[in-house]
Amino acid sequence: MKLLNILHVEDNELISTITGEYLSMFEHKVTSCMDVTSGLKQLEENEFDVILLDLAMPTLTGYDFICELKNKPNILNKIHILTATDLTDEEKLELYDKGVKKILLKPLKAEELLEQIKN
Amino acid sequence: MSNKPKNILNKEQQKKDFLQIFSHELKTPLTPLMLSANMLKNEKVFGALNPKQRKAVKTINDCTDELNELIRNIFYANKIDSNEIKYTMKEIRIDEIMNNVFDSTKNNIQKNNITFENTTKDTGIIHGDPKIISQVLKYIINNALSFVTPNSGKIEINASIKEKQVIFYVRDNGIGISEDDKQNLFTRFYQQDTSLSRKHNGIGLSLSICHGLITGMNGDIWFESEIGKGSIFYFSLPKFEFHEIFNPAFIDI
Repeated sequence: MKLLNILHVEDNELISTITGEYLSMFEHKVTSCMDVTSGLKQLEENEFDVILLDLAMPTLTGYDFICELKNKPNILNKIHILTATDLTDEEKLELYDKGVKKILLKPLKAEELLEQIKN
Repeated sequence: MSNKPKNILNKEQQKKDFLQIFSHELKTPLTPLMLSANMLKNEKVFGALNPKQRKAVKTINDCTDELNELIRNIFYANKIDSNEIKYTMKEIRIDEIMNNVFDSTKNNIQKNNITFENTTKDTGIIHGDPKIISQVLKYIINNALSFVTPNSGKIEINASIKEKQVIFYVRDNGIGISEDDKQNLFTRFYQQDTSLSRKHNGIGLSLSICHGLITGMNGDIWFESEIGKGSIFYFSLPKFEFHEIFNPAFIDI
């Protein structure tokens, strides 16, 4: 199994900690950022295989994160949205149009999260 | 332009906003709960459990799934009310859809020592939304499952084409439905037994969701039932003409 370098942008500390802990158990390397600004900074400094991105966050949201990356399809296609927001079909299509790879809905099973980031 | 008075539109919007926030706030704590419960269950992650711990972890996992399903259903029912369900119509073989539903539900049913059969013989093709049809069948099967007795319970599923329509049914030998309850079965939040000591859980959403989904595809849903003998839930869908009624669209339940 390929070990992945994962960036997780999520403002909820509990979700961030548990997800990081779980993925690390499978030897993946997880960098957790609690806000969009520090997530974008990480992207300038490091390369990641997968970006897990929450949408609803204070100050700057996941949408702002995506907008900042609009000319970087190679980074956008690593984004796995992980959201508790009920998105309409139109909103989902819009996110796919912007280039994100997957939209995963919270809550999701641990095994499913692992499976989804591998593919 | 809607011809509803402005204050009604505001109320509808307020209800929608409330449900949106409510859903987000419920799912946020449910996310670490589900992840942690799954991690404990997978003994490769946090190590081996003793039998009592394993049982407790199973309870946490089962209840978390139930809670998640409940939240999902509340929002799904609301989507039906707001006409936000879109159907993706495809050509589907009815035996294939029945086999898929059978395969994906059989473990859950058979583990309770309940006889489960798919008696579909018809191989005809219909136009329909396979995801929605499967979803409705699963709701009805789950409903049957909660009313049959372990060890002697039987559930049968079938679909066949009759002239211009396809008729699906789910038959059980469960406790049956009383005459009084028959009137309200597809009513939102209806539970046959509302006493605090009621045996069956749920808030009476799944059958009303089925009703909304099937009537949304120009189909009918009905049942026959006798107390102590069991129930048969039927739904019918038109065999053809679907493509003329609906615009294909994307849906993700």
